[in-house]
Amino acid sequence: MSGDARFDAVRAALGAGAADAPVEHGVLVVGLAAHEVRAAAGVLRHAGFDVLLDVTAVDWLPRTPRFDVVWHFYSTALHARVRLTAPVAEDACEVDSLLDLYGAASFVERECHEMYGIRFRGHGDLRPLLLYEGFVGHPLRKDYDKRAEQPLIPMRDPVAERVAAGWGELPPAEPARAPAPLPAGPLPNPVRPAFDRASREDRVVVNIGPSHPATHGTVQIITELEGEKIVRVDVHCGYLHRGFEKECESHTWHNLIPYVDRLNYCSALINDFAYVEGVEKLMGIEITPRCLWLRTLLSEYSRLADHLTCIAAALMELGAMTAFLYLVMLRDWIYEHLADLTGARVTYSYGRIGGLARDLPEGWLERLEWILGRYDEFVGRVHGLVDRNRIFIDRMRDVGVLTTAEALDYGYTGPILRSTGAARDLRKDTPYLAYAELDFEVPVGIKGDNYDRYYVRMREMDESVHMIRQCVDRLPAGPVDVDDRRCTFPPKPLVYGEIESLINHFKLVIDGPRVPAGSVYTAHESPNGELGFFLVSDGTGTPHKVHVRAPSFVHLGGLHRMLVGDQLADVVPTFGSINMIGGECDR
Amino acid sequence: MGARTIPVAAAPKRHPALEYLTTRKDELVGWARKFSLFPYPFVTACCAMEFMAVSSTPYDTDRFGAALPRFSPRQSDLLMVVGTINHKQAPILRKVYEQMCEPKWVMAFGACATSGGFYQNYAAVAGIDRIVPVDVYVPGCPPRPETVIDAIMRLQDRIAGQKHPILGGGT
Repeated sequence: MSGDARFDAVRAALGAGAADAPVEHGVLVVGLAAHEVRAAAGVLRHAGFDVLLDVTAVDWLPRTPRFDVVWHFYSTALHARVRLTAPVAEDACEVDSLLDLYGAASFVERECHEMYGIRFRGHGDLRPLLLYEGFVGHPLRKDYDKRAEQPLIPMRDPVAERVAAGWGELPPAEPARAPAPLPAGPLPNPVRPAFDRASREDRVVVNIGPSHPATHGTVQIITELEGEKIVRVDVHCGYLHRGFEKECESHTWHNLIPYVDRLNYCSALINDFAYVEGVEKLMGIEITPRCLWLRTLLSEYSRLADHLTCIAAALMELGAMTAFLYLVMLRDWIYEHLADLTGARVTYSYGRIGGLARDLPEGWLERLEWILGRYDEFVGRVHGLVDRNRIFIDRMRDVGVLTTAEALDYGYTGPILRSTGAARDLRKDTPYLAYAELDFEVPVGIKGDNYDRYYVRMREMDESVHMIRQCVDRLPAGPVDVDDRRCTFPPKPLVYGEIESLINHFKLVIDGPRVPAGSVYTAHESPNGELGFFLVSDGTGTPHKVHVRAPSFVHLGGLHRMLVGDQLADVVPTFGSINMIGGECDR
Repeated sequence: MGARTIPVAAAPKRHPALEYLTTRKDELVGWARKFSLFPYPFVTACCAMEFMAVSSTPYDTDRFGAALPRFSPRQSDLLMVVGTINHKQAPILRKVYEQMCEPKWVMAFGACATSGGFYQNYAAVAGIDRIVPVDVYVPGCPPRPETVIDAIMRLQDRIAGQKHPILGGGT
C-alpha cells in the first residue's frame, strides 16, 4: 500500500464513492456505476491523469450484470495508475465514450466494442478494427466458441484435392470432402473505408497495403491526396489478429508463455517477463536476486535486438541497404547468442512463473562482451553512414512531427513520446526489476519528428549496452527459480524418484499453477512503450482473462495525426519510425 | 613492293564437338527456372524476423538466385507466405496469388502458414493451403534460416524436375 499519498487527492476528487477505494498491486481501483464513469474520467483528466492506457471488459457469465468494463489511466506527473470499473448488463451494454477527453479512446473503444459488444455512446465510428466487416458476434465473450470460424472466402480442402489428384486414399474414417468452389466475382473487402471517394474533384484516394513493400507489418492506410499532400487518412489494422486473448483463456498460466512470446516478436523476452511478473504479483511470489538481475539484463538485451530490427527495417525502406546489412548482422549474432541460452532464435519461451527456464550456459557472458564490442563497431558505422547524410535528413527531419501534448492525448509512450521531448520512461518513473539500482539516462528528442525517433532509439541502444555491462558486473550467484511448489516444477530426478514430486509435477502440467482470484495490471517499458498486462484470475489454473495493453496498437490510433499534411512518400519513413509490430498490435 | 596486306589473325580453329551442347528441353528449362526465383514476400508475422535474417549477409539467399524480392505479384514467381494468415487476410492472399503469372510456386513459411500453428481459433486460418495451393512447407516457429534454405533447395529440385511438354498438354 505504498505511495498512497499520490492517491489521496484522487480519492478526494472522485468523491464519496472513491473514499475507501483500495490500492491493488499499485493501482487505485475505483468501482463506479456506468453512468458515473464519464464524469470521473473528466475529474481524472483534470487531476493530471493525462494518459488513457486502455479500455477493456471482463465477461462474468452467468453473473448479472454480466460485464465489467475496465478503464486504465496513467499520470505522467504522479507516476500513478487508476483503474475504473463499471458493471454493465448484457441487454443494455452501453457506456459513455471518452473520445472527447482522450484521443486514445478512438482505437481502444473500437476494440472493446467488437470484442465484447460494449457500445460507446458518442464514439461515432465503431467499425470493426481487428475483426472484419460481416463478422457476427463478439469473440471474447465467454459464450463465443473459440473455434467458430467465419471465413470471408470459400476455403479449399487440400486433403481432398490431393486424393483427387491420385496422391492416395483417405483413411476410411475420414470421408473425402468436396473442394470448395472458387469465388465468383470480386473478392470481398474485409474493411469498410471511412471514405471511398475523394471529397473534391481535384483529389484522389490512394490505398496502401495491407500487403505493401513499404509497410513491414500488415497495415492498411487509405489516404486522400491533394497533389502529393495527404489530407485525410483512414488506418486499418487487424490483418494479424490471431485470437491471442481468446487462446489464453483456454491454456494454463504456464502454457501461454509461448503465446506471449509472439506478441512483440522482436523482443519476446520483455513480453515474457512482464507477463510472468503479473502472475507472480497475483501469487505473491518474490523472485530470487539472480533471476531479478538476469531478467533485467535480458530485457535490455532484447531491447537492443528490437531497436536494431526497427532501425534496420526503417533504413532499408529508405534505401540504406548497407546499414541494414550491418545491423542485421549484429542482430544475428544476438539471435544465435540467445539461442545458446534459450534454444530458439526469435521466440524464446524463456520466462517462467517464479524464475527462468534455465541458468546461463558456460561462457555465455564472455560471448556477450564480444558481441557488445561488435555493437560499438557496427553501430558506429551506421552513425557514420546516415546521421549526416543529406538524403536521410531530408526524408526524416520535420516529417511526421508530433507534439508532447498530442502524443499524450493519443496515449503514446516509449521512444515516440520521448522523441517529443518528454523524459517519460517506466524504468525511471516506476522502477521495476533492478532498474532502480542501475545508472542510465533517458534520451529525449527535440522536435518529435522521424529523425528524433531514429536518434532516440540509437541512443537508447547505447544506454542498454551500458546497463547490460552493469548487470553483468553485479549479477549475483544463487538459484534462478524460487523454491515454491505452487509454480516451480520439481527437479526431474525427484519427479522420477518420489511420489510427492510426481504428483506436484502432474498437477502443475495438467491443472496449471493455481493463481489466487484477483486482478492485476503490470507494465514494463517495452521497446515500443508501455506494455501492460491486465490479468484476471478466478482462482483456477487457467486465466479468466488476459488483456494486453499493446503500445503498437495505441500508436496506430494516432498515426493519422503524423501523416496528414506530409507527402505520400513520407508514409514510408513515418510508418517505419513508429515500429508497429503486427503480433502485438493485432494480437 | 607488292600490295600491302594487313595481317589478320587467323580464326581460331574451332572444334565442332565443343560448339554444341545437347540437353533435354525439360532439363534446360528447369535449370533456367530454378536459378531465377523471384520471390514475393507476403510477410505478416514473427517469421518476418527470420525472413530478414535469411535474406541478409550470414545466410544470403542470393546464392540460390532467390534473393531479389519483387514487390509486385505480377513480376514474381515464388509466393513466400511468411507468418500467420487470418480470415481477414485471406481474400488479400488469394488476390495476390491470382495476380501472379504462371509458372508460380508457393512456399508456406513457418508453422502458422503450414497449419495455423498453435493458433487454432476463430481468427487464424489453419494453413494457407486452405486458400492457395502450396508447393513447399517449411516447419518451425519460426523456422531456422537453414530450414528455409533447405526448403528453397528442395523447391529448386522440384522445379528442375518438372516436365514441359510441347504437344499434348498436361504437365
